[in-house]
Amino acid sequence: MDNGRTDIAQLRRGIVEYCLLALLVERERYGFELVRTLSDADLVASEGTVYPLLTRLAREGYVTTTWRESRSGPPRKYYALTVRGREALRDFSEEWGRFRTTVDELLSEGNER
Amino acid sequence: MNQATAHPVIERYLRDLERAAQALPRRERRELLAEIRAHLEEGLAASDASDAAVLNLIDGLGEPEAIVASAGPTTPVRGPGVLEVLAVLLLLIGGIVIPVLGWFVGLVLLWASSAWTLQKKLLGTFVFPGGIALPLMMGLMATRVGLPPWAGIPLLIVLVAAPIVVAIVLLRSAERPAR
Repeated sequence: MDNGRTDIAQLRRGIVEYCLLALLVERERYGFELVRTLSDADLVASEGTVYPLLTRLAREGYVTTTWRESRSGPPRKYYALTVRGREALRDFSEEWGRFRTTVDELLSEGNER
Repeated sequence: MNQATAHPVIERYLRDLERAAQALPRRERRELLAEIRAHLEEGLAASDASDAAVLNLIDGLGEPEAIVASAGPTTPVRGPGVLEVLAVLLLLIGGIVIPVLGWFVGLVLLWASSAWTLQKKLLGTFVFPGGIALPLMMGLMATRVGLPPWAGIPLLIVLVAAPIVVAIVLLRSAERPAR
């Protein structure tokens, strides 16, 4: 684990993808909106890194994209969850619950020793 | 370019990003640049568009290299393969080696390849049908009808040079999807 930083970066990236899907459950959102939400929540260090993740989610069919004119400014690219994306998010949520409990337990045991 | 992103710092940032994104497949590169551009425009519209706001926006986005790296491990985009080189050669001189048919085979290869965009394929098709065989023939005919050399020679040079330039453009722009 000599490159622990890359490990954590990858872990983070994987989780951020599902956070993006989660943000789209209620309604479609545009890129800037998604990115700002994540960075306000301190989930991403640099905002730009979110865009390639969005592109990948689109390429793999988890979201669809549409450019739309906006009344107030430049056109916006909207992302919407697909059935496939919804299923992937559900699977992740279940897995995440189990994962989190296990890791929390192990980490707290480690701290107590 | 949109007026909002005409700030020199933004222009330099976009140029750096474009360079860093060379490693990405064409389509992804285009999408990424469009998104980052939209992000900058959106961010500027929401701010007072001062120099400080621009710098904060750029800082927030992060280093271009980091952005491209988050696209994950990228298989380097591959240049022209044997078929692409053959296609270009046949388009250019196939018509001389085997009249008409040679060029036509090149055309089929051109359209069968996924290494070129529709634009490039059209360019390869129409400049010129027959490759350099056609302008050479036209040149010969022109000397027969007695076109004065001061008109005929430059015309011939342009006619021959155009398909050669197109051939070079095709070879340089060939980009096969990563496996």
